[in-house]
Amino acid sequence: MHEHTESLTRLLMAVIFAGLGVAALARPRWFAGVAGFFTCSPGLSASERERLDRVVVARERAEGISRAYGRYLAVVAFLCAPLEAIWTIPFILPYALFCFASAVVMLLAYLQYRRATEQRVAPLVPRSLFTALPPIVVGAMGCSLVASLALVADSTARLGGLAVATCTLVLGIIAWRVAVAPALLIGADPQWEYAVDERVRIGRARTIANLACTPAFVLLAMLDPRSPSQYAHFGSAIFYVAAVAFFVTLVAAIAPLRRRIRPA
Amino acid sequence: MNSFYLVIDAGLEIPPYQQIVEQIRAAIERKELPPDSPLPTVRQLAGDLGIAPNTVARAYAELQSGGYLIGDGRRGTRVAAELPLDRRTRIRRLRDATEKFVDSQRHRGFTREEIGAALGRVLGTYDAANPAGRSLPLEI
Repeated sequence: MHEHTESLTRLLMAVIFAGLGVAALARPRWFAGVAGFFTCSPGLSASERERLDRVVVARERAEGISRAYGRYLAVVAFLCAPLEAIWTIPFILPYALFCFASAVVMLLAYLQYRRATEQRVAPLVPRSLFTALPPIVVGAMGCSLVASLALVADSTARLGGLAVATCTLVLGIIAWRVAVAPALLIGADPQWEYAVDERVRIGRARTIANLACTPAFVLLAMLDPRSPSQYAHFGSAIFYVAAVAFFVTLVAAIAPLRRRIRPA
Repeated sequence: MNSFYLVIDAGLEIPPYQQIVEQIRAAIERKELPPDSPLPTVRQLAGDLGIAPNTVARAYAELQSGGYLIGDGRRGTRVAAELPLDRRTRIRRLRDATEKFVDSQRHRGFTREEIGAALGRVLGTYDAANPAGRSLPLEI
């Protein structure tokens, strides 16, 4: 990457990290809470909305430390910002670290919730991995991995490509673990709890899938066309692969949030 | 999709596998689990309930041997299309079948004593080979 362009890129990334840190401190539930998956739940009556809110609040309480998770992310963001000043580190690495930290936070929330639920209630409904992670999303993550691995072959972007490929792979594994995680119900209102659990599982798994595809897209978008990298063109096929993977997972993550939630 | 939920109460003296068997059996008899409806895999249900997969496998095996569930290879475990009959109905059907058998033998010219002696000999042989099966004729 050209020196001047890279300086600007690093500055931009540092500002973004600082902004993310401030946002995570001010609105921790945006980053680690459950309520965000239910802000747009059309077609609910007042009593249904009340039951949903009660279940969501109980779940957030059981996950316990949603606010603390938001603060962890703020700390990670504030740590990533100065890393952009170290030129020996690829500019994409702190961003990949932040994506990784976001996914870990979601996984930790699940583990905390599992420890918190003592009563064991289970729906007698078979679930499939592909409900949370449809084949197109799995394929998009695969494409993103291939795109970042292609960068490893390029001497000018090898380190960044390697960091992004590792991040994509690890986040893909975390997305899979969240997608197949057990249904965790408290037992007070199992029908609504299961509906909430399904949406949270799908929302988190697909958000992590999107996070897995983001670093490759950002890295390829920011490669300078004047650099000697053979992939440093917005028109290169590998960029389009990463871009399509990013947008497919983004749509897959957002689409379920607009659907009407129905208790089982 | 069915809306039946299993609950495992660790405070009960009944073992978890028995709790699963009784709840699923009751749900099937009450039609809360309709015939042919699919059930979760052993691994999924064990994960949801936080118990060992062997416990769920044992419960499923008992329900399969009782005719409530069928293990259908790649299609997974499903509720049986036809429910097993209750004990009273089965005994009534056995009595009907025995009556038909006795009638048919009477029409062939055998006396009550000859039919009774033949049945007694068969049951005697059966009892000798299957000691656990002795209780069935006594209940009728």
